[in-house]
Amino acid sequence: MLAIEAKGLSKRFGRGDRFALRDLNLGVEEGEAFGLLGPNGAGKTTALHLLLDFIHPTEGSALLFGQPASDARTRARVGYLPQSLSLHTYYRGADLLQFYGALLEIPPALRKERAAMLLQRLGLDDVARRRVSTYSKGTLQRLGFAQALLNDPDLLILDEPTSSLDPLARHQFSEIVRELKARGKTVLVSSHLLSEVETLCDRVAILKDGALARIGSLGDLLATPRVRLHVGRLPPGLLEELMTLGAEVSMAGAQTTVSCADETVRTRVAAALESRGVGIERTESECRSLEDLFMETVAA
Amino acid sequence: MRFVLLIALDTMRSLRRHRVLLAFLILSLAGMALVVTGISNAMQELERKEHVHANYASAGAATRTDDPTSDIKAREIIVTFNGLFAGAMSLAGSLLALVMFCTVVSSELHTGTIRVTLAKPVPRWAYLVGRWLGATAVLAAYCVLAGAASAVLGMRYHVQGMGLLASAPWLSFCGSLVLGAVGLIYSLFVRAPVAGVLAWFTSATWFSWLPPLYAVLPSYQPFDVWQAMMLGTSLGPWHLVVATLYTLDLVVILLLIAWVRFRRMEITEPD
Repeated sequence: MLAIEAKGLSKRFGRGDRFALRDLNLGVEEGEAFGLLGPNGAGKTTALHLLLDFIHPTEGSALLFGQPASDARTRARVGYLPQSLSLHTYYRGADLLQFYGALLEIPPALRKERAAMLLQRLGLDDVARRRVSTYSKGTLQRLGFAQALLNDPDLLILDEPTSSLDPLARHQFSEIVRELKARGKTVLVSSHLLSEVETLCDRVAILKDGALARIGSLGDLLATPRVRLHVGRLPPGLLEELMTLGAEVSMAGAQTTVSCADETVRTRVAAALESRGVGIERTESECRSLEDLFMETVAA
Repeated sequence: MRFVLLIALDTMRSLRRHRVLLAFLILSLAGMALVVTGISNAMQELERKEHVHANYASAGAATRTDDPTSDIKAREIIVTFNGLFAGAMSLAGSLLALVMFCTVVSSELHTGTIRVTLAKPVPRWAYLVGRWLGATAVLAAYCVLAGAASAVLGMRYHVQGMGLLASAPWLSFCGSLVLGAVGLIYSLFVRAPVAGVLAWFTSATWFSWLPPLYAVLPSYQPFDVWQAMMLGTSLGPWHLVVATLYTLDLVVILLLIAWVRFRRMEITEPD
C-alpha cells in the first residue's frame, strides 16, 4: 500500500502564472525511506505542506495511506518536523510533549512513558523541566524531533531536519531514522544535505522549478553507463587503437585501466583486446555521487 | 470536543503569559480601583454632611450653614463615578477582548506554531473553536473579577443604582464577546493591530448614517450600561435576556464566518 500518493499535484500562489509545484506524480510505498531534493524554491516544502493539508492544491490531489490529505484522523499516524520550527515557548519541554501527546490521543500512561524515553534518547533529560523559551536552536530542534516521534508514526515527514543540529545530534537523528526504517515505517525527508539523504533513503526525487526532474532508486539514479576494464600490460600499438575507439586509458605499472563511456565503446574495446590476446581481469561499473547527479539535474 | 478543550486550555495558558495582556489587566484593575476610591471619597463626604445635618437637627438649629445643593452635587458625583466605573469596566473589557481575540489565532499563524498543532489529528474547526473558547474563558474570568469588584463596591457604599452596576459585568462580557468575534474574523485576513482597529469601527454606531450597513453591523447599544447610568434609564431583567440572546445570535454568525475563512485558509511559512 502507498503511504503517500500525489496525483497531478499542482500549486499556484496568487493569480500569477508561476506554479510553485507543477503536476507532481509521486508514490511512496509503506516502509520506504524517500528523499525529496531540490534547490531553494524548487517546491519541496510546498509539496510537504500540500501533503499535510496546510495549503490546498490548485489541481490534483494528495493521499496519505489512501485517505485524502484533508482527513484529520489520518494525521494520527503521521509525525512532522517543520523546516522553521516554532514551538509553544510558554511550556516546559516535558509538558509540551504531554500536550502534543494529548492531541495525538495517546493514553496518559503511554504518553508519559514515550515522552520520557524520547527525552532521554535525544539527550533532553537535563532541559526537560526548563521552559522552551530558554532552549537553544539545536535543543529546540531535538524537542521538535521528539514531538514528531511521540506517536510512533507510521509516516515521518521531515523538512530539513538536521539543519541546526550538531554532528553528534545529527548522528543520533540518522540512527533513529534507520531504526524506524528497519521497523517498516515510512520516512519522507526533504534535505539539502545530500550525503544524509544518500545514506538514509531508498529512493529520491529531485524537484526543479516546481516540477519533478528525476525520480528513482538511488542504485538506478547513481549508476552510469560508464564501465572500467582492468587489464594487464598492453602490447605495442594497442594503446593508440583503444584511444581511437573512444576509450580512456590509464596505466600504473603492469596494470592498465580502460574506461569506456558506454556499451558501444565497451563492445569495441573488448573485441580489440580479445584480438590482441589481452584478457580482461576485472570489469567495474562506474557510479556517480548523489551530489554529481543533483548538480547535473539542477544545472541542466 | 476533546480537541476543543485541549486547545482552549492551551490558549488560556498562552494568554496567561501574554505580557501586554497582563500589563493591560493590571492597568485596568488599577483604573477601576481609582474610580472606587473616587466613589468612596464622595460617599464619605456625603456621610460627613449628613452627620453635620443630624447634629444641627439635634441641637435644634433653625438654619443650615452650608449650601443645601451640595448634597445633590455629592449624590450626582457618586452617580457619575458609578457610571465611570461601569464605563471603565466595559472599555477595559472591550480592549482586552480585542487584544485577545485578534491575536489568538493570528499570533500562531505568524510564529508558525500552528503547523505543529495542525499536523496532529486536530480538525480545523476544533482548533478555531478551541482558541475562541480559551479567549472567552479569560474574558469571563476578567468580567467575574470586575463583577466581584462592583459587588464589593455596591455593598460597601450602598451604591445607588446597584441593579445597573450589577448588570455591568455581564453586559460588558456580552459586548466584548461580540467585539472579539468581529476582531477574530478580521485577524484571519489582516495583521492583528489592523484587525483590532477595524473591529473597533465595525459597529452600527459608527455607520448610523449608512442604512444598509447600519442594519447589518453589530450594535453595542444594548450593552451600554454607562449611558444608562448617566441617563438614569433602568435596565430590567428582560433587557438582559434580550441582550444575551442578541449576543448568542451574533457570536454564532460571526464564528461561522470565521470558520468559512479558516477552513480554506492557507498556512504557509511563518514570517
